[in-house]
Amino acid sequence: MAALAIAGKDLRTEWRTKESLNASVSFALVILVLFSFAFDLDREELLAISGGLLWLVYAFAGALIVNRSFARELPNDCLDVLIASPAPGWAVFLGKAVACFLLLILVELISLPVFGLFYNIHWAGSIFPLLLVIALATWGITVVGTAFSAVTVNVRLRELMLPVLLYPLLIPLLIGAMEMTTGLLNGNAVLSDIRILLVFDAVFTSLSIYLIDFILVI
Amino acid sequence: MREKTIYGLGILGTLLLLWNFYTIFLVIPIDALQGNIFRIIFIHVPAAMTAFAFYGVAVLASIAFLWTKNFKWDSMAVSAVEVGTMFTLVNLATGSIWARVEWGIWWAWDARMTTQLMLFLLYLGYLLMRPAVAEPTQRATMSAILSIFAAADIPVVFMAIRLHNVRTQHPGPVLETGGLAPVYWPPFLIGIVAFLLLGSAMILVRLHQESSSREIDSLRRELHAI
Amino acid sequence: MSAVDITNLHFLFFGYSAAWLIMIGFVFLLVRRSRRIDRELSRLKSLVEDKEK
Repeated sequence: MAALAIAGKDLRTEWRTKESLNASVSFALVILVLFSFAFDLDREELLAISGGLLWLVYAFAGALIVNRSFARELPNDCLDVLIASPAPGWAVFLGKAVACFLLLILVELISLPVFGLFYNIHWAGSIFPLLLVIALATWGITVVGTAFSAVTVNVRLRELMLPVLLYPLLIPLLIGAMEMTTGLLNGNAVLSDIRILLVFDAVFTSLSIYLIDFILVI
Repeated sequence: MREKTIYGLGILGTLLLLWNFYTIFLVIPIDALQGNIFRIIFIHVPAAMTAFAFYGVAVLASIAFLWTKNFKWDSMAVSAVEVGTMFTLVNLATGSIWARVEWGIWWAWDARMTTQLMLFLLYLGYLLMRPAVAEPTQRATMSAILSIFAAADIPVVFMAIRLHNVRTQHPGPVLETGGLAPVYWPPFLIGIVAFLLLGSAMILVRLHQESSSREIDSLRRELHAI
Repeated sequence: MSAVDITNLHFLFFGYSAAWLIMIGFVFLLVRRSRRIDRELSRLKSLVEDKEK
């Protein structure tokens, strides 16, 4: 229940200001545009890199969103209040992770049609497997990202350190997501790497929940 | 006593390494398929194994720190990570040179080399984050958390890359340590032992530096108080 | 020796050199840091003694 309350609080705060949402969506769109200039590809090559491209955009946008997650609690000692509240550590963590997850999914769903438009890629055909891959991989990004957001909340140069620490850890998840997305966008509905996403999500969700008390007490 | 241990380990390790070189270059028969470049394996693989051993020590020390909150575990963790990272760099450099000779490319995204690169990146982040946190307890806790996350990621990385490679058919290293001819085993094992000894000497030096740093911190606080 | 053998030996030399350079470089960094820490420690110790007098 506390988790839901915290998730609701984060979502409401974000919805009122829309600051990180706007930043993320704009960033995602800008990167999509930049990539279209970076490569001069024919249709075959474009389909081959489509998954990779999409998940790079999502990963960059995700870092922006999770960074705000614990950082927004710093002014007025809100973080101390959260830690001191009767809500257990894992509830705070899960609430924030769920809020980030929903925000990132929103950014991704906004970027997906734009991606399809710019690169002339048809994604609607395999929409359900695609949504499954997006959901699982996004949960992996948000759960690890939120944990690291908590870890780096008091670190100097937080905006710089969070991506540096986060991306290497996310590489196996991104590999799996990229492979499957490329396959799905090419028309093969084969979810062969789904195991990687499931294992990653399971391992890091449980690890984060278990370790969050150590992280938050610092 | 500590100094003697460090010198002892260091000298023993260096001597073993030199003796090993004699064996590697003058005694071992040449590999028919790969030629002389094969001899680089006697640095490449022992460095990887030493790095793994020290990363393992680092993770255990990190867990011990979270459990006991004793700073000597944090010192052990950072020392082990630093030395492990150095050996990983040796592994990556020698692996890259070997790849250049074997397959004509400086890097092949095969499972093992990429896992090593991942380890390097993950623990490089660990080493980069430490100076960014001023408060010792915070720094130690964060480092411990990072170290545990990094260690948890490694099996997933290996799994992901192996699945990835099955379809893209990148060249993989031909060597499987099980297939090493018997005549190659002695210098191989001695190489591992030598690296472990040298690495342990470096870790002990680093541990002493960490405790001196803590002493400096407490002296600074004392000076402020006086 | 064939050209391949000579190339092989060149790269072998580079490989071993790289390994040694990295290890020696690390030891050098360790020594430099040790010196810096010892200097700082003795400076602070003498400062504390002076203040106590």
